[in-house]
Amino acid sequence: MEESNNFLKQIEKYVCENNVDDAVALIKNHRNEISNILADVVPFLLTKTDIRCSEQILIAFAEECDPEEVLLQLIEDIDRCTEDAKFLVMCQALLRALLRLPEKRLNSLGWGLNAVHSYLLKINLPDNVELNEDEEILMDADTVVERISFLCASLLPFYSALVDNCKNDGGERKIVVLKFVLQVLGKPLAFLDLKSGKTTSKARRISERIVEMIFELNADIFAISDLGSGCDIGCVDALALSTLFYLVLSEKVEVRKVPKVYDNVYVFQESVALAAELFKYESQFVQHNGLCLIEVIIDRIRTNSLSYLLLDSEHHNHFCKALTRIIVYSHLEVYRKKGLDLYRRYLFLFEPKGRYLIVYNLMGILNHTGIIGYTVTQYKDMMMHELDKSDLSPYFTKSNLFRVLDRFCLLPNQEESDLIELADQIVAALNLLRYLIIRDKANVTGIWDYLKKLENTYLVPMKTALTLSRAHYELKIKDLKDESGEGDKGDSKVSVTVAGHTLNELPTNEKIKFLYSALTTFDVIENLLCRINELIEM
Amino acid sequence: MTSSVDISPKGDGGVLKEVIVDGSGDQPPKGCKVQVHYTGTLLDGTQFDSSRDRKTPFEFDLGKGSVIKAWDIGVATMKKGERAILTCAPEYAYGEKGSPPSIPPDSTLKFDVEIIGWKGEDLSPKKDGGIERFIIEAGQGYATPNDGAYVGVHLEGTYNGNTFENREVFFCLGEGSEEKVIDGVEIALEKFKMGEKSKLVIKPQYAFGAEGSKEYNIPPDATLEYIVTLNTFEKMKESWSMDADEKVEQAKLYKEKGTKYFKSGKFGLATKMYKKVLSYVENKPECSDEGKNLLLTSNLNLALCYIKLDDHFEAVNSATAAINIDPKSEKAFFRRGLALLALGEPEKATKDFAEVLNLEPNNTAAKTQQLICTKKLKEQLQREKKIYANMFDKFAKTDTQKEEDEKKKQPDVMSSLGEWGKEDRHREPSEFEKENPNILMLNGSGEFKDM
Repeated sequence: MEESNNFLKQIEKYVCENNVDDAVALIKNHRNEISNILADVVPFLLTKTDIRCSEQILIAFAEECDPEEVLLQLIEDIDRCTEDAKFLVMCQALLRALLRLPEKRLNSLGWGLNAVHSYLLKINLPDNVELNEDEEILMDADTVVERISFLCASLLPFYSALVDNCKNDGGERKIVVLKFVLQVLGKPLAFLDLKSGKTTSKARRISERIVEMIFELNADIFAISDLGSGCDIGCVDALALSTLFYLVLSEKVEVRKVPKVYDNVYVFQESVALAAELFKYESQFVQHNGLCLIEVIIDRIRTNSLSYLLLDSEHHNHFCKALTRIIVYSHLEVYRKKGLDLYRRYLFLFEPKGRYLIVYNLMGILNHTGIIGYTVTQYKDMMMHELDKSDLSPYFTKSNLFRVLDRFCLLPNQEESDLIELADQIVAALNLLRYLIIRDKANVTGIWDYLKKLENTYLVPMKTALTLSRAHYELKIKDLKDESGEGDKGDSKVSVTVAGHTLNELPTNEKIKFLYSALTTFDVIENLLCRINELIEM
Repeated sequence: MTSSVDISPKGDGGVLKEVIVDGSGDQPPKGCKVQVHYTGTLLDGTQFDSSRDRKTPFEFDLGKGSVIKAWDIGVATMKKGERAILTCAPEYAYGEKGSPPSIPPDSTLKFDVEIIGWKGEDLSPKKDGGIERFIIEAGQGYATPNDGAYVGVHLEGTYNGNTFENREVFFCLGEGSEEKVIDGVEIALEKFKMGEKSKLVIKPQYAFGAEGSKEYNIPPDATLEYIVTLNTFEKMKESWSMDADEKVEQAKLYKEKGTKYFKSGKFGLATKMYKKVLSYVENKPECSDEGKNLLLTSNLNLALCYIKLDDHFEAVNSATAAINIDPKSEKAFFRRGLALLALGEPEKATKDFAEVLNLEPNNTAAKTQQLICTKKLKEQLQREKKIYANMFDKFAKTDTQKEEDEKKKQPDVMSSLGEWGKEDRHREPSEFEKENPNILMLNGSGEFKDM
C-alpha cells in the first residue's frame, strides 16, 4: 500500500514536471503495482492542461500493464468524459489496450468499442434547418457539424488500426470489429451531408474512408445484415447499414468491389427495408439518402415485373407509410416531388396482382386526401394499361375491382361528410368511375353490375352532401360579407373550420376567397357527378 | 465450346454450362450455404467481378432467389470441386436494366465458377449444427411464421429408419410442447415458408435429450430425422400479400385457434380469435359459401363465448349476426334465447326458443328452456303483482311526500328580501360605466330598468 502511494506520488510529480521519459521508465519498472493506482492516476492525468504528456503516459500504461485492467478503467473514464480532447487521448490508450487483448477476449473488445460508440451517440445532432440545395453547403460551417466531422475524422486512425490488425483473421473477431466500424456510419455521422456534388463535405470524405475499411473486412454488403445472428457482441446498426447501402449503391463508393451476382429483385427487397429506415428520421440529409437509395434500386427493376409475394414483407407497409409522409409533409419541395415520382414508379413495378394488393392496402393506411387522390389516379392509370391488354387480369375486374372501389368511393359520414376534406379523393374517384363507364362499354370489368350499389352508397349521398355543403359555405360567405359591410374590418367573429383547422388568423377577404375556392371545388365535383349520372342513364 | 450444355429448365438456352474440371459426390441441396470462387466476364472479355481477386470465397444460400437465376439453376447442378463456365443470358441475369455501373443493359454474362463446398443449413440458434435443414420442396413467397404464430404442419419423424410419428398438428409457435412437438421442429419452423417441405436432422439437445421418449420408444441421446411440411400459418397483420381467398384461409386458422382456446376454457382469448375471423372475412353478397360458413360459425361460437363470460348483451348481438347470415340456425336462436333469459327478458327469450322448436321439434334442451321461461314469466308476473298491489296506496303516499317537499322548496320571501330584488336586475349603465365597462356601480346614479 505504502509502496503504491509512493509510486502514485512519483508519477504525479513527473507529470507536473512534464517529464515523460522518467515517468515511462518508472511505469516499466513497476508493472505489477500499476493496477493498484490506475483508478486514481487516470482521472488525475486527464486534469492536466498539457494533454500531450498525459497521452504518452496513458499509452505507456496501456502498453505495459494488464490490457483488461487498463481497458476497464478507460471504459469507465470515457463514459464520464465530456471533453472531446480528453476523449481522443483516452482513445489512443484504449487502442493500445485493445490491440494487446488476447484474441479470444471478444467480450472485452466489444466493451471497449462500445464505450467509444456510446460517446459518439451522446453528441448533439445538428438542427434540421431544411436548407435548399444551394444552401446545403452552409452546413459545413455549422459548429455541431464541425464537431462531429472533427471527432469522426480523429477516430479514423483508431478504427483503421483495428481493421489492419484483424483483417487477416477469420472468424468472430473480424465480425465484431466490422460491426463497430459500421456503427460509425450511423448516428451522428449519418445526419451530415454525405453526398458528393460540386463540393465534397468533410463528412463525405470520412464516410468514404469508413466504407473502404468495411470493404477490407467484407466486400459483400448483403452478407452484413445477416451478421447479427452469428455472434451476439455488438449489433448491426440499421441506420448505419442503410447509410452504407446509400453510399455504395447510390453514390457508388467502392461499388466495383461488391459481388455482382445478387439478383436485382433481392437487392430491391432488401433496400425497401433500408430506405424505410432512412425515411424514419426527420433530418433532411437522412431522408435524402433514403430517396436516392430507393431511386437507384427502382432504376434497376423493370415495370410490371415484381411478384405480389414480395409484399409478404411488412417492410413494404412501413416503406409506403414513410414515403407518403415525406411526400405530404416534407418542407422541401424537391423532396416532395422526388418522393411522388418514386412512389408512382414503385407502384408500377409490380405485376397486376401486386398492384391490386398494394393499392387496396394503401387505402387502409393513407390518411391525407391529396395522397389518396393521387393513388386513386395511379389506379386509374393501371386500369388503362390493363384495358389495353387482350387478357385482363382478374385482379382488375369483378369482385377485386369492387373491393378497391369500395375503399375509394367512400363517404365516411354519408351526406354529412366534409367534402372539402375529402375533395382530392372524391375528384379522383369520380374521374376513375367516369373513365371506366366510358371505356368499358362491354362491361369486361363488371363495372356496370356495381353501379347500382354505388348509386345508393355513394352517388346519391354525394348529391345531397353537395347541396348541404354548398348551402353551408354560401351562408358563411354571406355572414362574412355582412360583417365586413358593417365596417368591422378587423377581427371577424365568424370562425371557419375547414378539415379540422380553424381559419381564424385569416383576414376576412382571404376567408371569403378561400370559401369561394371551396365553392369552385363543389362545382368540379358536381360537374363530374352529373357527367357520370348522364353516362349511366345513357 | 463443344461441351456446352443447356441447363435452363425451359430449354431456351438461357443458361449454358461447360464443365472444365469434374467434381465428385452429390450436388448441393436447396437451401444450403454454398461456398464458391468465381470470375465474371462480359462477352467482350471484360472482367467485372471476381471473388478470386478479393481472395475471399463467396457464400450464398442456394435456391432462395438471392442471386441471379442463372446461378441458382447452374450451381445446383454442380458437384463439389467442380469448375465450370456458366454462360447466362440477360433474362437469367440482369436483364434489360443491367447492373450499373459494371454491367450494361442486356448483357450476356460468363461466370467461371468453382464449388468449394457447402454446409447444410444450420437453423439452431447457437449455430452448433443441432438442426440441419435440407429443402425438399421450396416454399412460396418470403414470409415465415414468427414466434407465437399459429401453424398447421405435417410431421413425419423417423429414428433409425423407423417412422415413430406421422401426423397433422396445429399449434402456436412457442407452445409446441403442449402438442408434443420437439423444440428442434419448432425452431426450424420459424424459417419455413408457406408450403415448404424439408428434411430436418435434429440432434438430441433439440429433440428428446438425455431422457429419450418412452412413448415413441426413442432411446436417450438420439438424433432424429423429420420431414416437415408447413401447410399453413398465421401471417403478420402488416403483410399485404393476402388476397380475398387467402384471407379466408387465414380466418380458418383463427377459427381453429379460437376453438382450441374455447375447449381449454380460455373464453377471453377464444373471443379475440373469433373476432379476428370476422375481421378477415367480409360479409358481402359476393362472399363465398366457405366465407359465409366461417362467419356463421364464428358468430355462433362468439355468442357461446360471451354467454360463458357472462356478457349476455354481446352474446345477443353475435347471435343476431348469426341469424342474419342463416335465418334457420337452430343454435343461433337457442343461444340468443339463453342470453336474453340471462338478461331478464324471458318474453323475448321464449320467442327464440319457440323458433328453435319450430325448426327442430325434438330439441329437448329448448323444451327445458321453454319451461324455465314460462316459470320466469310467472315469477315475473308474481313479482309485478306484488309491486303493483299497493300501487295506489304508494302513489298516494309519494304524492303527499312530494307536496311536503314542494312546500319546503318555496322561497322564503322574508329572508331573501334585498337580494337580487327586482330593481337590481337590469338598468341602463351610467356614463361612467359606459366608459369603463369593467366597473359596475352598485346602486349608482343610473336608472334601473325592469326586465
